[in-house]
Amino acid sequence: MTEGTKYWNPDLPAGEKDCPEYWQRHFDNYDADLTRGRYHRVLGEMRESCPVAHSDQHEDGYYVLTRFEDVQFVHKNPEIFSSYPVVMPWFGNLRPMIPVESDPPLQKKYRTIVNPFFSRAKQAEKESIYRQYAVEYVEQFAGRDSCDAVTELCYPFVLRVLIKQIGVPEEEVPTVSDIGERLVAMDTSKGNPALELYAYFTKLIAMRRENPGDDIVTVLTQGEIDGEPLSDMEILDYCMAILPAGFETTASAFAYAMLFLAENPNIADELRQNPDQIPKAVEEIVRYVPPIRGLYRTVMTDVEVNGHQFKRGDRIMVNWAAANRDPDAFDKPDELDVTRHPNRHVGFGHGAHLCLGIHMARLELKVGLEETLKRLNDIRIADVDGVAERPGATWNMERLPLTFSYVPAE
Amino acid sequence: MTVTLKGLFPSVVLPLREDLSFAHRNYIVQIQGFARMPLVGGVIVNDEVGEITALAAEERARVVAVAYEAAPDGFPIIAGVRADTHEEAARLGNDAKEHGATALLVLPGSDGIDSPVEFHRELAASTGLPLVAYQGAATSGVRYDIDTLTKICDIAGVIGLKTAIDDVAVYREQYNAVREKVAVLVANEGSNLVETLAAGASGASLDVSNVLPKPWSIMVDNAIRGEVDAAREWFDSLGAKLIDTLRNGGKTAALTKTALMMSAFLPNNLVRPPATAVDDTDSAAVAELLGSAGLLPG
Repeated sequence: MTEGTKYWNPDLPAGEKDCPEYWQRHFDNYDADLTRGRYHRVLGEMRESCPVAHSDQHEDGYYVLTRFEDVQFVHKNPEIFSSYPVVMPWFGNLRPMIPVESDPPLQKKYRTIVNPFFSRAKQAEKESIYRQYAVEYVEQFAGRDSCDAVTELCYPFVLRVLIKQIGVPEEEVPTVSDIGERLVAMDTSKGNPALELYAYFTKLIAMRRENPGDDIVTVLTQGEIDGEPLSDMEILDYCMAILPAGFETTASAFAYAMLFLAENPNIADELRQNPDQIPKAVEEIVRYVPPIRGLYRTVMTDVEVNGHQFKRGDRIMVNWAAANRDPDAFDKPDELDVTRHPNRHVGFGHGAHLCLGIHMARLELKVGLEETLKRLNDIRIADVDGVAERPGATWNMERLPLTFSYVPAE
Repeated sequence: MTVTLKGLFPSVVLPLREDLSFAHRNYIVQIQGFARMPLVGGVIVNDEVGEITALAAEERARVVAVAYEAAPDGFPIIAGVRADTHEEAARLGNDAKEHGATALLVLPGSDGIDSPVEFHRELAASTGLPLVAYQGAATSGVRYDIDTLTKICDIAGVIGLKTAIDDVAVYREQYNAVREKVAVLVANEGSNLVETLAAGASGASLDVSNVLPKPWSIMVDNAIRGEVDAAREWFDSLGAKLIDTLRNGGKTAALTKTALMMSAFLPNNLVRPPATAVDDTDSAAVAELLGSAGLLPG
C-alpha cells in the first residue's frame, strides 16, 4: 500500500531501524529501506549528529563523511586518500579501474590521454548526434499516452550515445547494449556479463588499431604516457570502467529528472517555457539526487579530518548526497530549485577525480530533457506503486511508469 | 625519516614487458596496493625475487625511484644492495638513497661478504641510510655465526635483520641475541613459519606474500601477537600451499608472477635470466592451487 500520493517522500519512516543511532553504526549505501528520498533525510540527520560516522557494514567497516567541507578535503588530496577500491563491497578486481581507481602519479597521466575527447568543446561538436538519438527515442511515443521512462527512454538513449562514443560499430550496438544492461543489473542469468564485455573490448581494441575512428577506444589505442603506448591491459581497464561509469550514472540522472518533472508539473512547465534554464536544472537534479551517492577512499597516510584521526588503511565513504545538502554550503539545501545559481555541488565528484565525462553527461541530459519536454506534455506518474528504485554503487530507477500527452515538436 | 620495521614487508616481484624491460606502471600499482594495507609496514625492492641480479645499476635505481614516486609519504622503501665490494655497495646504496630509498637491505654478493662487520659499518657510514642485514638460510651460503651477527647488529646504522633461518631453535637463539639491538623480520618461507614468528619477531619479509598480501599480513600479525591458532588456521589452509607451489629456487619469481598473471593482476609471467621461466607443469600446478582456492577470475 502506497503511503502518500507522491513517490518522493523523504519523511516516510525507513523501517523499525529508522533512528540516527542505528544509521551512525550500520549505515549501508545499498539499504532498500532508504528509497523514496529517505536516504537524503537519514544522511542529513547523520551529518548533523555525527559527521564522521563509522559503519560496521561491508568487510571491515568504513567511515562515512557527510559534511561538504570534509568531502571536499578528501577529494582535494588524492595522495592521501586512494581511490581504490572505489566502491564497497569491493568488485574483486585486483587491478584498479582506470582512471577512476587510479592514484597519483598515474591518475593524471591516464586522464590526460582522453581529456581532449571529453572536453566541453569536443562534446559540443557532438550535440547534433546526441540530439538525433534523443529525438528517435522520444518520437517512439507518438500516438501513445504512457511509457516506462526508464526502459524506453533514459537507459536506451544514454547507452546508445555512450556505446557509439566508445567506438562500437552500429551493427554491434544491440549486442553491447544487452551486455551493458546485464552488467549494471548484475544479471548473470545468461552468463557473466563482465567477462563477455572483457572479451568484446579485447576484440574492439584490435579492430580500432586496424581501423581508427573518432571514438574513445581509438584515442586509447593511440594514447601514450611519457612516450610509451598504453598496454592492451590498461586500455581494457579503461573500457571496463567507462561503460558502467558513463552509462548508469547519466541514465540515473535522466530518470530521476523525469521523476521530479512528473511530480512537480510546475517545474516541467517552467522548463518547457524556458528551455535555456535546462542546464541549471540538470545541475540542480545532480545536486539534489546524485546518481552516485558517494564513493569510497582508502587512507594512505595518517591524517586528521574534522577532529578524527584516520590511520593508513582506513576506509572512508565520501557521501556526496549528504554533502550536497549541507546547509553550510547551500541555501535551502532540501529544496529542489532548478534556478539555483551558483551551484557548486559535488554530484559529479570533485578535484582530480571530477567526473571524466561531465561535459558529455551534461550534454546528454540537456538534449534528452529538451527533446522530451518538447513532445511530452502533462507528464505524470501513472502508478506510484509501479515506481521502483535500485540501490547500488549508482542508485537508479528500475521502473518509472508515466502518462503524458504527446505533441509533435514544432 | 625514521624507519619502523613492523608488520609485513613483501619483497616485490618485478613486472616486465614483452621485451623484458621494466613495466614501471604495473610496479606503481603493485607498490600502491601494498601501501593500502595497514599491516604491511613497507616494501623491499631489488631483492632476490625482484630479480636484482638481472638488473643493471641504473635499472635498480629506476626501480627505487618508481617505488618512491608510487608510495605515500612515510611508507618505507627498503632497497636491496648486492655487491662484491663495499665500494660498489656504497655506490649502489647512494644511488638508492638519491632515488628515494629509506633503508638498504644488505644482500650478499656473488662470493658472499668478506669482513661482514666492516662491510656493514662502512656501508652505513658512506650512505647514511639505515641498514637491514640479511641472514640467509642454511643452504644460502650467507649465514653469519652468532658472534658476527651480534657485532653487525651493534653497528649504529643497522636497524634491522631479515633472517631466513629455518630452524626454530637456532632462530630463537639468534633472535634473543639481537632483539634489543634491531628489529627482526622473519624470511623463513617454510612449514614452520608460524612457529618462527611466534618465537618473537617484529615482522616478516616474504617473497610469497606478493600473492594475497592482505591475508599474509594478517597471519603474520596474528602469529607475532601470539594468536597462533588463528595464524595457523589460514597458514594451513592456504599459506603453506602457496609456499609449496610458488617457492622453487630460481623459479620463485616466475612462479609468483604466474600466480599474479592468472589472478589477472600482471600481464605476463616473464623473467630475466638467471631467473628460470616456468614450464607447463609449473603453470598447471599454480592454476590448480588458485582454482582450488577460488582465486581464478571468472
